[in-house]
Amino acid sequence: MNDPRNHELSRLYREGAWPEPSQQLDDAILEASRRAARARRSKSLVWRFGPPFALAATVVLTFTLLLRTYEEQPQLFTAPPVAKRHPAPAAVAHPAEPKPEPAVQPALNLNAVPAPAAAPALKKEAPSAARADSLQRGFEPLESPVTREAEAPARAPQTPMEKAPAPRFETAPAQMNAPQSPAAAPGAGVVSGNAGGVAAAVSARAVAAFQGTPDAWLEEIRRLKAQGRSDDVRLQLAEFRKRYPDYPLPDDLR
Amino acid sequence: MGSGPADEELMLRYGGGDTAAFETLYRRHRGPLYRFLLRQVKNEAAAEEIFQDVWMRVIDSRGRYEARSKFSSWVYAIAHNRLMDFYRASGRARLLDPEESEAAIAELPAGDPPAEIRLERKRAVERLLEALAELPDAQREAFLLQQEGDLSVEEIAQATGVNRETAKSRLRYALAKLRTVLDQTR
Repeated sequence: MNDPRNHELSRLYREGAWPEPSQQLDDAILEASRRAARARRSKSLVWRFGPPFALAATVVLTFTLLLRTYEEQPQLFTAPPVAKRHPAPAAVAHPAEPKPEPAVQPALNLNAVPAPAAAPALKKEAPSAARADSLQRGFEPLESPVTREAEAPARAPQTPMEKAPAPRFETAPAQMNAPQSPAAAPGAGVVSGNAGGVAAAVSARAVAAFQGTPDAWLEEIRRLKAQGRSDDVRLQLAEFRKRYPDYPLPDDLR
Repeated sequence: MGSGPADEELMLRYGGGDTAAFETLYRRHRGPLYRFLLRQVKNEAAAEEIFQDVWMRVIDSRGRYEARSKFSSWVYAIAHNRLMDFYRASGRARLLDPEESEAAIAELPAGDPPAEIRLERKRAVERLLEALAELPDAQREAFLLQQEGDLSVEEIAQATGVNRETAKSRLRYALAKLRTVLDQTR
């Protein structure tokens, strides 16, 4: 391969004619190369900005949906798990009623299943208990029909608040049945003695189940205040502050 | 191939959208590639068609190109494959084995005897090109890949899809035949 004659051969070959492609062919190929590069650039723009744009759109859409859900159903974000809430403290019970005995407190287990005798026992509730019940019903239009039927005969005359629809209050069926347990226990002859604690607990849980707007809640508290139900007002205000610590309270409710 | 960026770098840049890089690359290889094809197919229209097809394949491959080997090896490999298609289509698929090549050398036209000591340079070139045209395709291809593509034996083997020994043999036979012609013209 390194024969000197090969170099001579190579030199001679290069002295020959040097045909080249036509200018037309050159132009066609170069134009094709530019066209292809342009097509690639526009394609690469889509590939470069497409995924980030899709991600941003997904985030915005998700955030919008969350915001809308929050505005329409804030309880999904703020309501604590009802079944785990501690019963209302005895201090918020009606002052006129005897404080619930310590033995009654465990009976306020919200998970307790009501006994069949629960309805007759509740018929004997004191007025405060009935009031608590009415408060609860005022907040809970979706209560269990069974409970409603069972309690109907013993219910005190309905207050205006009870009659007024409260569409933004609801509660879980388990919550409705829970207060029946202490009174339903066999031999619970001091139903009226426990009524204050039961009422307080019911109110507390009713408040906990409040799912309306803060303004509507305050309006409800005002209504209770106008009716002179100071203990309920206190109870609800306390719960309100817990729920909305940063919400400014109106002067008339401070 | 001259100074400036390497072919491989230019091709990669073109893959990134740099059309000027392609233009440089094209200007660098257009002549040799065209001559390689023209001397192989011996038909200007066919050579131009294949030439354009080769470059279009280069353009289409811009996004997939990887600088694993010399750019020229890659381009001439494309050209080789396209030539094979042309040969098949034209019934000229007769790439010869080295043994056949020896027979071809024996059948080499004697040409004019070197009666004159000093032959015109022009006549020598013409004879060389004529002899080149009469070479078996595979040998001529090897010779042109070396002369036009500036490829080494290994790169010729790679471009034509044969082992190194075959490529070397083809090149050796081609050179031997052309030297014979060259000697005869002196």
